[in-house]
Amino acid sequence: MASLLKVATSTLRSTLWQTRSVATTTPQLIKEIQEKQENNVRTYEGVNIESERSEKLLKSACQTTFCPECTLGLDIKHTDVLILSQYVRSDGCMLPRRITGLCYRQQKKMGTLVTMAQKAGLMPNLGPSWSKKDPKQRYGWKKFNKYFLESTIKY
Amino acid sequence: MSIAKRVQQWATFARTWHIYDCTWQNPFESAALVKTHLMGLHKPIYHPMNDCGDHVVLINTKEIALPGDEWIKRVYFHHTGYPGGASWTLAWQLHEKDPTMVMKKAVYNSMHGNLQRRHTMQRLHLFSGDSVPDEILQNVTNQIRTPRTVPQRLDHIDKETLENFPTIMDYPKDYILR
Amino acid sequence: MSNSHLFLKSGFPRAPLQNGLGRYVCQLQRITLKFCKNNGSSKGMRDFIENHLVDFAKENPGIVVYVKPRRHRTPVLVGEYLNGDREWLSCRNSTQEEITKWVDLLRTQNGSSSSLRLRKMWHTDVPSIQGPWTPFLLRSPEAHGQEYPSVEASKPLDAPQTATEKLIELFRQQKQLGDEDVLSQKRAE
Repeated sequence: MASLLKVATSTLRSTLWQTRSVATTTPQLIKEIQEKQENNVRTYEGVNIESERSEKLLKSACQTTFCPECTLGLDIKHTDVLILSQYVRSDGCMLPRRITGLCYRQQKKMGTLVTMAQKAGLMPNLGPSWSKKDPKQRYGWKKFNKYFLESTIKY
Repeated sequence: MSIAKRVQQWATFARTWHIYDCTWQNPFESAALVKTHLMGLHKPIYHPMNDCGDHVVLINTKEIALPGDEWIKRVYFHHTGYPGGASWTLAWQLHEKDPTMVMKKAVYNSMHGNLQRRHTMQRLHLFSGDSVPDEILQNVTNQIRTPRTVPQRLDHIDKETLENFPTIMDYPKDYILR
Repeated sequence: MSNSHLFLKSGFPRAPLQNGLGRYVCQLQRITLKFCKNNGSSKGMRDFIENHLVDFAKENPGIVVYVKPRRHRTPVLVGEYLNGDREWLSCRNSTQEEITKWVDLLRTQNGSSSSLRLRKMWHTDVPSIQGPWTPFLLRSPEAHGQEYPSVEASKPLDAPQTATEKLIELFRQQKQLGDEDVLSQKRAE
């Protein structure tokens, strides 16, 4: 039974990945929730839109197993906010592993790097709506500049 | 000594002025760098008994950066001399009171405690912001390069770079954008 | 802290009267070897006297050699020089070979080396024709007339390539490759 399940999941996954690799030529459709207000009626609608990222996607990132460190040899630091912001939701939350497609170790590392960048105040525009956007307005010692050493990341 | 030789002597021992931007720099890494220029250790004519130190102007000392949680781990000790006069101040509290003090102490403590140290410190000019009096700025002929690159904030990066930056992660199909 | 250096002669190392330019005059005038006849610490010195001293005296007729036995004292080498210097050396427990080397040193040096404090670690009789160093020497032409503080002059020179820069570079290469693919397709048509 277990082997059957495994076969089923593997075929499912392979078909999924195929669709994903196809997506590099035809853009990926993702959904955006849009809010409309018409005469005391508020409607929420999930609209299919094209992913902005599909055009700027790196070819090697379409592989089934992709890792920025192993595949591209990128030594990502917490100051590389342009890379780290791709793994982050608009409220500053790290995306889960099923969406980022990273291995366990890299997912943990990327999460730590995102935390570091947020604490250093390098991604102040990616945060919850109630957050103070300016890192200089933080409370106590947190308002001063700080940096982190990547060598302190465990695992 | 002939006039030509005297002028040569003035040129060799001329005091030059350096400027150093402390923005996002570790004060203790910077202190080692500033110290060499203050004491004249970077000159080939250096000798502990000749007076060949330079002036260094430190700007933006308010913007220094410490690694990790060192702002709450580093403690500055002071004793008034009276019983019970000891006080311990955290680095961030000291920095809040006087934004030049952490940097000044870092440079002071990086040098050996000899009689020359007080005189060497007289050649250090600290400014918490980037506004420097014009008579000081006129003297400056060199800028010391910093050991760390200044990180760029995501909301300060210009729009063109943001839009053209390549992505290495695309959302899966039917991902609900948030 | 000792103040023994206060009365030390100071100067620069130099050859007396340009010794060796025309003919060489050995500066060592007298050498005294003091030793004990029975003590073990003088073993090397006794061996030296037995095996090498006569040869040494024959080879250097200009040097007066004194040998002074004394009971229960450390073996000592004393050299006296033409400029009046006197060099005293303890040879306690030294072997025969070591003493040979010390004697050779005493023979070849100009005066007592330990009684001169060098004013500077460097010295030149021929000063540079470019003149001494100044802070304005070898400055880059860009530094002239530059406004300080400047962001460019503050950046580190040896910063390694960041991941961001590397990614942009990779993407640019990919774009170029893609363009070439399109071109080759057109050529094929």
